[in-house]
Amino acid sequence: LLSLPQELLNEVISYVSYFDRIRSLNVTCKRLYNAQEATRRNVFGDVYVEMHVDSQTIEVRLLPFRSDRFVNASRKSYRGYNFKFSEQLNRIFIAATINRLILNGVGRGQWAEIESKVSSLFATSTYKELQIDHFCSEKFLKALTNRTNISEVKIIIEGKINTKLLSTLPRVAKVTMCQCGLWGDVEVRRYHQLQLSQSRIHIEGTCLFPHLIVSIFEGFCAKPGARVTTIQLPHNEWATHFIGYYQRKSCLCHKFIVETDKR
Amino acid sequence: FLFPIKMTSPRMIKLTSNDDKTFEVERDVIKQSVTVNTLITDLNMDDEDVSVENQMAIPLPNVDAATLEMVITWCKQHREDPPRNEEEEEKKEKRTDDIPEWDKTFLDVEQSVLFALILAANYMDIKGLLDNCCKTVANMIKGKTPDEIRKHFNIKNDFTPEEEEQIRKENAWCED
Repeated sequence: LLSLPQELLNEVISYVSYFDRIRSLNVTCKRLYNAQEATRRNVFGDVYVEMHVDSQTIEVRLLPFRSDRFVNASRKSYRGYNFKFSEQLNRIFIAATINRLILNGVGRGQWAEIESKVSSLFATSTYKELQIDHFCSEKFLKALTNRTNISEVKIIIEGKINTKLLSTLPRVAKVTMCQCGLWGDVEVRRYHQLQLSQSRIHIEGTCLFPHLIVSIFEGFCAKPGARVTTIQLPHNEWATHFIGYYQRKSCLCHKFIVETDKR
Repeated sequence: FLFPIKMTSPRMIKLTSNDDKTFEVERDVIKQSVTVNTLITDLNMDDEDVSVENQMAIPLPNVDAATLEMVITWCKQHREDPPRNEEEEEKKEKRTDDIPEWDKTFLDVEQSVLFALILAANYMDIKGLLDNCCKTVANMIKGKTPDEIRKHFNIKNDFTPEEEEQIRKENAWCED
């Protein structure tokens, strides 16, 4: 194995799972240790990271999937790893490129105590996509979006909106808002007050209340410079009406995705 | 009336290994090697007027006869494979459980032969063969302890006990 030139040795190692690399290859000999270290930084390009944070530990789930299927997958179907905050944890994420960072539960409990630790953890990594829920603190999100070149933020909103949180997003290229159809009128009105003029808005609705989607959409379109790039509509019966109405108004939405009726 | 049908034999290409053995291989088969394919095109060897007897053999100075024979066998088996889209391949998840059955049997060889095939596939730029060889080696590593890996690949442990202890300590987080 060691007779292979470095480039081909790296190619072989790229097919070895991350945990086999760490647990076995790393300890086998110096050449494999160095080769593993050299390829390590690319590892997270192929995985999604989901984190659950409490006051003492951070549970990192490395998901070896490229698609979105993990979102609905049983939590037992992939392995989670619990880390205590330490040097080792920082070492894993140093200069990593992470496809999608999902932060769930951030902001619950004793978040304030560990916020700085988590912030420093991600200081050197870059993310293509960041998915947060509405518990994520404004300070943390601001720190992340200021430091790295996140091109997309997906906010899972479960009926509540942290408007302060959203006001930190103008630097982000694309913002996806999920489950908008579950929002109330108050949230929609708050949304209209946000300054998101530099953002690309992607509204992904579980549209129980289509009129709210219409209202959100109109709110964004009314802002100078704002662009709603995509609206995902789950219900056929009103989607056609909605699209037709806005096409007649020459709105700024570039693309509509209409899902089949799931009800 | 029956008209005679002109039977055209497949276009052949000559390849010479580094131990001076020459192989004749169908043009259609060896097109899977990007290196050979580029040479054929650059040297205008696709000109039909040149018979195989008068054709210049393409030297492959990094490949021995035994390995070249195996490479040709692999290319013959995969001649009907659809062309690879490298961009799509790049996006694919890196996995090792998708080696075709024929390749699994074909690549069940001595380690030295497998590593020679990796070097040849890399030199001749045959991505499909290189991928399946690398996956086969990765499968040999999978699930093995460091000791088992050392034994399997005849690797000497060159860590000092202190260094080894330090690495194990660093890796403690991922131990079950």
